[in-house]
Amino acid sequence: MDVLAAFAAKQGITYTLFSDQGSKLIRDLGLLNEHVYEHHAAYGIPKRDHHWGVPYPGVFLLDAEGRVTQKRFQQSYRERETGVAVLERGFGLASSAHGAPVRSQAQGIRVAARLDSPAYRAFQRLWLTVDIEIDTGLHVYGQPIADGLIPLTVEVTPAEGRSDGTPEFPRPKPHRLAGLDEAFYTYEGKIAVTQPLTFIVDAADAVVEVVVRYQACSDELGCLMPQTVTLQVPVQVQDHIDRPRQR
Amino acid sequence: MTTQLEFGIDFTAIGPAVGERFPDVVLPDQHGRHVDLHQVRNGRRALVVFHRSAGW
Repeated sequence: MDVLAAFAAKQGITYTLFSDQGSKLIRDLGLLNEHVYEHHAAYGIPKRDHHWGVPYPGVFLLDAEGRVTQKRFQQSYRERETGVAVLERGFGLASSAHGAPVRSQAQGIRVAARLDSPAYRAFQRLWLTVDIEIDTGLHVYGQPIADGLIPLTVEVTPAEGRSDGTPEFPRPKPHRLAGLDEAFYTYEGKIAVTQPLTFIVDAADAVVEVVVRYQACSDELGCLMPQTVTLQVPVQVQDHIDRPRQR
Repeated sequence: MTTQLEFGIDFTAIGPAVGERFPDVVLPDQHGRHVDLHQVRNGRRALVVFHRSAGW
């Protein structure tokens, strides 16, 4: 409790912090992190007995009746999400705290890319959101796709010190052309592609390079040339609250 | 430094499940008062965070 009081005072926390002495609740709920020593070994950290008893890292979202609507847990005790991710991806609220969008455009589309936060701390999972707006009358191809067509892809260029998750695309819609039996899967209008990125060192400010490839087509005029749009999304490094950065 | 973040843990089977009422919790808070989670929610949505420690 003294530990909690000191922590709350130092961090300016006004919401309730529960003290789970002896990890009783954590054990009762089956949330005791049984992988903590295995993770120490994987990270090359000496086994520390006082680390036993910690929960798996994550959050439960409860509705007004107290039912669990979402569990958002991380595999590694080192990793965590941002408050923005919990608000936007969990509760479906709009946050004004995310990073500034970087915008670009090319034939038939406008693209904006942003991160949850303008700054990162090591092992914080940031979500990259790429908003793509396709001009009226045009479509781009999704997956599955027939040979010879170019699907929409969104790729982040791999970078040292960053671990990238898998991009999540919306489901494309079947698109039929008159006189053809085959349906194509396409996107029209506005879509958003998201991808988790975790910086695993916090040495310096960084840039996330996002590459969008696509071919825009219209039923009447056929396809335009394939295009590539590259965006550079800057992100600053942020000091940890309690300790200087690892360099 | 290793960078492993995925360990193959399946969280669907760990802890209270989606759709279940979150169990009753009554524990001391940072002021030493016993607090009932569902009472303090007061009919509102809530975020319950499991944090490794306030000490390290």
